[in-house]
Amino acid sequence: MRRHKLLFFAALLCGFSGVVSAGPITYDVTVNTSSITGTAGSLDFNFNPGPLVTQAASVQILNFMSNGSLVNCAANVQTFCNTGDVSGTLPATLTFNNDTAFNDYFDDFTFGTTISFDVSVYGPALSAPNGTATSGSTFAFSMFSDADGTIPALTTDTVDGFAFTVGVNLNGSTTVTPFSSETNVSTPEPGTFVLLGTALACVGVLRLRRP
Amino acid sequence: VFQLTGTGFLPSSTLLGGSQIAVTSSGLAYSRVSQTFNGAVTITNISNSTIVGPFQIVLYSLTAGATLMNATGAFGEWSYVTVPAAGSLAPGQSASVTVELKNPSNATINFTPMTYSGSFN
Repeated sequence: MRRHKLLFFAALLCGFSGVVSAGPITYDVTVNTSSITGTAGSLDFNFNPGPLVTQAASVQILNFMSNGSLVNCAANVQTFCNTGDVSGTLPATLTFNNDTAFNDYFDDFTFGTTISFDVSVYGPALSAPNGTATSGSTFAFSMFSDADGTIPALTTDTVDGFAFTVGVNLNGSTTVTPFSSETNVSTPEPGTFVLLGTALACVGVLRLRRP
Repeated sequence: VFQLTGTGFLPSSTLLGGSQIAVTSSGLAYSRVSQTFNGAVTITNISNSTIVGPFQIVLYSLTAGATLMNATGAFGEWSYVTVPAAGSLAPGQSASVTVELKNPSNATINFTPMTYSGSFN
């Protein structure tokens, strides 16, 4: 009986692996800013819905680290650091929700040699696509060599100034579009430890099924 | 063949129905450089037969105050874009066009996409 219970729970966990992998998708981002070290520029992050029917999704910016200097927001100098449904202040976690049209975080920044952070994308649009939404959502990160955010830096996208974007697709997947050779956006890691646990459970199932 | 429209006689174009074409879009990323919200609108042939283009997407009832900056032209009072490089769409085939929308109020941008096959000029 105990053996059957173990088998049942291991099989259940094993079967849920596909669902779990559709949860938060996290990208590790590293930017080599050594060519503009010392520049008094700015950073911009935004995450917005589309113009049609959009399902709820969120983005978190985690583990922001740099040897550059965030200028204003942490000191509460700017009143427009957060626009729309954005909470938090860098270098602490930022959380963006796509329930308003324009969700943006902007701060002046004196560049050092590197910036790194994680972008975690999650919510019903990823974990349970409803099949009725007709718009995705898009996250965009940009760097500028001026404090007003008008002169793009470290990007080939001189028209719009994006370093990279992450699109949330209608099927729950995400798509990264890079525009910066100095910016490395890693492949997503959907819950590494959960996947490891799931793999071990699957091994357990195989062993228990042996006579 | 010409058809009568609100703006006069135009070369033939046909409004494609919901059983023929599905319209979806990406999210709208905001550019501080161009001060526009940028995304892509995708049309997919969901019928069982090929639909001959070119294809025009009219942004019907676009939010007041919002402007389609890369419009091909106007169809009545609404802007439209031509889907590039889409001569025809086989069943299941898709094609996309970028949209660049200026909206000084940063309020929600909405429109009803109306897809036409044929040309407006």
